[in-house]
Amino acid sequence: MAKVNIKGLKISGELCLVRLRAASRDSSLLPVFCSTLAGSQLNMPFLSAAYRAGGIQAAGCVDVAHQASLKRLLDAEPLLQKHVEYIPGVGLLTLFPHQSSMKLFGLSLRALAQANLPVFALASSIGALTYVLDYARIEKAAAVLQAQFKLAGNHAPFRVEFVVSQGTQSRPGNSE
Amino acid sequence: METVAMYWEPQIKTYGFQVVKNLALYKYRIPADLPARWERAIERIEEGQNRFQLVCAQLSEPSDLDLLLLCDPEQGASLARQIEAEIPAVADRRQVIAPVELIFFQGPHFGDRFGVADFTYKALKEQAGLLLAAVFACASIYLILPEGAADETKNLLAAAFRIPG
Repeated sequence: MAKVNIKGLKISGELCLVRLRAASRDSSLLPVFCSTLAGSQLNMPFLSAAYRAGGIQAAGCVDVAHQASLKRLLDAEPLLQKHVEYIPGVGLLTLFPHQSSMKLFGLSLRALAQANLPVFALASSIGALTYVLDYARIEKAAAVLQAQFKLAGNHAPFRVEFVVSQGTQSRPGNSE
Repeated sequence: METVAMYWEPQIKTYGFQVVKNLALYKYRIPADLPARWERAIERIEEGQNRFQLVCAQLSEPSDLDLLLLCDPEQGASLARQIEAEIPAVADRRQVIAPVELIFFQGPHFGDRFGVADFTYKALKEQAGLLLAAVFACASIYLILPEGAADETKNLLAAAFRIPG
């Protein structure tokens, strides 16, 4: 069977996954979380939230360099401190374009499962499908998807070589 | 080497808001390791020209993925039939909310900039309490709302964001 064409696979830098869960549908939980991060100029390249009558469940990613300061910030926020869980060492693997295709979604999800690569979260955007995966195995995940799909022009998965980030603060660890 | 720069928009720009109504939101809880029956079910929905408006999922328990699938109602019903042909018991556990409405929009480097999600929630005001799901990924924002809520939500967003003329 012919492989499905995609144009590319992009690998992020290392991130920390923050999971928010609340048993009640407190409408201020996510706004307070987002406001707390924004107040410290912390970007989230990925955030997915699902609301239901019985509660809220969300997953957001932040540069792993900010993990310690993030934890301090969220621990200090009474509304959030009991609802937060951290999973360090994740990364984003983004394939594009998804063409809104269930075939592409199914093939990618099954390929990752068959390779025993756990998916922490996933979300589509306008053109791309992004998986949140174990950062230590993200190269393997990229290879699995590369084998599953036909990349245009024989492109290879690429890592983000520089990051554009807005802010006035240096990234922790970059002191020069 | 790191170059630190500051770019701040008091009113964040977007390329405009898209509203899609009369959609169906399907919620499935899937074993994260995709056992054989689920693999076959997923394989079934790969067939044909099935399309989604949005897919998103996250781990709910260590071994389960909560999957949200937003699509046209006819498409959703067809996908549900294909899944349930493989796993009949799913019919009792899946949740469907329909009709629902979707607003999505994108802007320059939304995924690289802090504060965009915060700006969005502040713009939504009380409408944030109506959200069924929200996704901020790459440079896009997707908001899923109950029937009848998209137009008012779009007005609030349009008043807060700037669409360059």
